[in-house]
Parts: sequence; C-alpha cells; structure tokens
Amino acid sequence: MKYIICMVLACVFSVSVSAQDTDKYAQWGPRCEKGYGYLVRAGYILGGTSPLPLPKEVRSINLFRPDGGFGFYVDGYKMFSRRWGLMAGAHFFLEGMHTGANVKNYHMGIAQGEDYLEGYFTGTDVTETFMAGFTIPVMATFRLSPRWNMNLGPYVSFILGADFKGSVYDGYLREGTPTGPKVEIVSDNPATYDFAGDMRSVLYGVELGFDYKIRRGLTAFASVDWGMTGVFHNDFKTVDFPMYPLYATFGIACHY
Amino acid sequence: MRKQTFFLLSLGFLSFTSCIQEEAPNAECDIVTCRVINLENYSIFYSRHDAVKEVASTDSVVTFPVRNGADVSAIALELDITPGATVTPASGSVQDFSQDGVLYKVVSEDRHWSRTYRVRFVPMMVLPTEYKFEYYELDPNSQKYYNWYGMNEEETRIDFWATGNSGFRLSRSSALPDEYPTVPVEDGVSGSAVKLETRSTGAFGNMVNMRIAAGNLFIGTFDTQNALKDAMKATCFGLPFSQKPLRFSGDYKFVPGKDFQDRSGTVISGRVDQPDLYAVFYRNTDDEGNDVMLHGDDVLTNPNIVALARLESPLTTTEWQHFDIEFDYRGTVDAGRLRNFGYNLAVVFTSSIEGASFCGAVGSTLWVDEVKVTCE
Repeated sequence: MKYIICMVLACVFSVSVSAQDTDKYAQWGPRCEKGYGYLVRAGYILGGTSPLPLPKEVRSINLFRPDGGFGFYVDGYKMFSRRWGLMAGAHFFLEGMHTGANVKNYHMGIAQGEDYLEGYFTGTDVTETFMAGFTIPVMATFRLSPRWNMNLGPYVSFILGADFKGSVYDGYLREGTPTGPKVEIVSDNPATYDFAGDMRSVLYGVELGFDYKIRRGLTAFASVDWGMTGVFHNDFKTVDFPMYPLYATFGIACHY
Repeated sequence: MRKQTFFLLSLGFLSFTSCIQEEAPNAECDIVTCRVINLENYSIFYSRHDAVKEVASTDSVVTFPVRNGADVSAIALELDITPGATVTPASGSVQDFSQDGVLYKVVSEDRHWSRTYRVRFVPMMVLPTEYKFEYYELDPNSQKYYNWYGMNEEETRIDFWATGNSGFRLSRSSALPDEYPTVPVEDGVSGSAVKLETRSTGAFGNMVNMRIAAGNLFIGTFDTQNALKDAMKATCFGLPFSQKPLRFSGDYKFVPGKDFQDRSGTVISGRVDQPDLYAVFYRNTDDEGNDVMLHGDDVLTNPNIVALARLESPLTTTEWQHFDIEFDYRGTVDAGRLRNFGYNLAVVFTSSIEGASFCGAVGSTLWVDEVKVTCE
C-alpha cells in the first residue's frame, strides 16, 4: 500500500506547480457542456495472482510470463467541477500468468473430497492462472493537470472463466510437520493440482488509473487493479496465505 | 511527466513481485546417516557395510546389527544431520551402547522442532521361518494402518514385515485402518490371516499417476521417501538369512477384481487380475562387496538371485487352497557366506501381479495364512 501512496503523492506534488493555467482545463476538458464524457479503452494486461507481500517461504521466482493479457474497457464520467468527477465503467478482461518459484518449507494442504494431504514442501512450484470476466469500477476522477487525470475507486469483478493449475516437483514434502515422513517428488512424476473449482466468481478491489490526453480524442492510460479479496474461497486451505490478483493495464483510449 | 508516471507505476508493481524476504532457518531435524568411526577393526560386524546406516525419515530407531557378544560399550558415531541443526550427545563422541542403545536428540536450526532417535547395536536378527500373521498393531505414529511383526524363540519382538500401507496413507488420509490395502482378518486357517486388497488411491493417486495400490506384505522395508519418486525402488525386498531354504508353503484364497486397468486408468477388457506369491533367496553383496537389495523392478530377475519359489497360475478360489513349492536353485550356496548372513530372504505377497507398476483390478483380494519356509 505504501508504494501506491508514494506514487500518488509524487504525482500530485509534481503537477501542483505546473497546473496553474486554468484556461487549459477547459481546452482539454469534456466537450459536452454538462461535463459528461466517455472513453473506449484497449490495453495490454500484465500481472499475476500472488500472495502479498511474498512470504519468506518463496526463495526465488525463476519464471514469470504474463499469459493472454488483453482488456477492452468502456468508461463514462461526469465532471462535477473543473477538476473533480466520477467515473464508472465496464471492463472486459482476459488475464493470466505462468510462474515458477522455488520454495522452502512452504506449508500446503490439499483437499480432494474427504482426503486431505498437508505438509511442508521444499522445491519447485509452477503455477498457471487465467481469469476472464468483467470489472465494474466506480472511481473518483481528479484532473492533476489539464492533460492528466487520476482515477481511484473500488471495483467489483465478475469472473466468467478461471483456471488455477500447476505442479510441484524437484523437491520433497514433509507430511504433516517438518519432522513427518519425507516424500520426494521428481519432475518425471510431478504432483499436479487444479484448483479452478475453488475460485471465487466475484472479487472486490481497488483500481487506480492515470489517463494522459495525447491529443483531443486520444488518451494513453495505465491502471492497476489490486484485488482486496483472495481469488479462492475462504474455506480453501491449500495454501496458507490468500492469493490476490494484481494486474496492470497499459493502453490507448478513444476519448469522447 | 508521463514517463515518470509509467516509471513509478512499473516500479511500484515490481516491488511487489521482487521482494524476496530473508531465508528462514531450517525447520527440519533429521539424522540422515550414522557412521561408526572409532573402531580399530570392524570385527563386531558381519560386514563392514553394517557400520554405516542411512536413516529413513520415518525411522526413529536406528539399528546396527552386530555379532553375538560384540563389545559395544565404547563406540563413536559420526552423524550427518540437517544443516544448521544441533545434536546431543555430539556427533563423534564416544558412547556406551550396551544398555539398550543411546538416545540422540536433534533440534532444528529454527529451534521449533526436535526429534529423538534411539541408536542400538543388537545381535543380527534371526528371521523366523513360519509366518502365522498373529502379531500386528496399529502404526504407533499415525494410528491409521496396521503393521505386522513376529516373535522369536525368546519371545522378543522382531520387525521384519513391510507393507505399502504408509504410502497409501498419503493418498487416502480419510481411510479407516480396515480400508487399507493390507489388513488383518480374524477368519484365518488358524487364528488371524492377512488380507491384501487392491484399492483405489482416489484423486491424490490420480495427481501422481498412481491410481491403485495393490495390497502387499513382504519381508524387507518400505521406503516412503521414494514412494512417489520411484515406486519400484520404494519396496526393498529381503533381510539377512543364514539358512538354506528348500520349500515355500502356505494357504491362500484369491478373488480377482472386476475391471483390470492399466497405469493410465484405462480398463483392459477381458484381462483378469492375478495375485503373486513368491520367496526369493539371493546374495546380498556383489563381487566388489557392495550391498545388493532387490526392488520392485528386479526382485525376480536380479543376477544375484540364487533360488526362487513362485506360485505358478494361482487359482481363483473362496476356499483356502494349500500350496507347497520347491525352491528352484540356479546357483550354489556358499556355507561360509550363509553363516555370515551373506544371503537375504524375501517372502512376498501381492494382490495384483502388476501392482508395482500400478496396473491391476481394484477389488482383487488375496488372503494368506500359515506360511512356512522349510530349510535344510
């Protein structure tokens, strides 16, 4: 959270001196006299689903590859004053990642029906996640300068399709406790998992975005969707810590 | 300005993914290897190889087999333990093992976990030759499944039977003791018998491509550590034996399960499952003096095998069926080697003949009782 705050403060501070010329707000403002406008955005989505912050059990990230990140967003807004307004929209997204991490003494428990296997794994964990759905954000929009907007507010996401699968190998599990039976798991015969069925279909979070008007009608944007709910149901005990979706979008918008 | 924002955004984002915290100290506290280091000559052992023991993660008792009457009052053990852990008494210190062994306590580097091991030097176990399956108990650690043991002539307990039950527990934690592949039953030929049943390993078995667990019972050890890595190597068949076996006899019943499946779980229509009952006698060291242990992949084919008695074409029967098979010798027995426990004997029962490669029919059931290895 402190990173976000630092980032916001840095932006606000750096623009407060340069945003003196009030006429330019009108020049770059919405065309509609009542202050309405909308943006049609297309962007590339980068990010992942991760425990935040990374627990100490994660020793290294060997592989990180965003998969299939694409977003198509429509936002409408209404300016209430020269600089303040409200923005809401519908964001359709396809986002995913492929990661590989080395973990040490990583506590995990896996339930399969009535059976439950719990223990401490040391070795390699490879995960693939994918989510498709749409997000409804409701954000305050603030004009940092005539051409810069910052948008911040909560969102709710509806997941239409999701996947969370992977495997563990090149290591061993201590069953139960670190003193329990040691079971080696090799890459020739990895232990695979698929937790798609344990994922939530509704997620909440906070979206922070920045829009820059390149020219009238064309905007570049960057935004971060930071999940406040873990992607799994609360009663899901496989991993000790909640896994939060954290995705950034970079793209271009047509601005009307 | 725009560059700055993008930079800050990406910086903020990266700081989440790249902050690897400091490594935690080790939580494990195992003795991995025990090695006798202070003896002038190793005459207390039958073989110098007996002076080194690899310790399985499931073991809390480490037994060094020695000659009868050996002096074990001043032995120093070098212990390989989990990095960072501490052990008392210290590795390399001279200890008196003559009073039922010595307790070693290992504490993990993070100080949260500890294990206590008893290290013993005891006369080489003399394997019994009659097996009635009357002695069994729930596994003392987990209380989940049965283990079998025997009694020698002095009425002291000897552990020589192994099963794959501990491996099955990992896949089916919810199973009751009687739902394991190897279980005791009351209605034996005389007293209790052992029932071996091929079971499904459920969703967990599927995850590791090991869909069934055949019931098995054998003389030897089961190495849980290798159960997933290399299941064939997890079954270690045979223990030292100092008699020449001649006949392998006993009673059995067998009912095959309905659908024979291959490793991928595909049903092979028309194939009927079979059990396997055999006894193997083999040289337990090679020409260079290295230890030889038979595993699932070579228990019937290893060149060190001297004699084999295997029940050919077992019947499907719900009535007790007697078998009595002669050991088929393919080599000679050296009397000196025999006296020095240079041969191993393995007696093996399984409810699915290809169970070691996870092929068989769920439900195949083999009952065994009153088994005997007649010796010269």
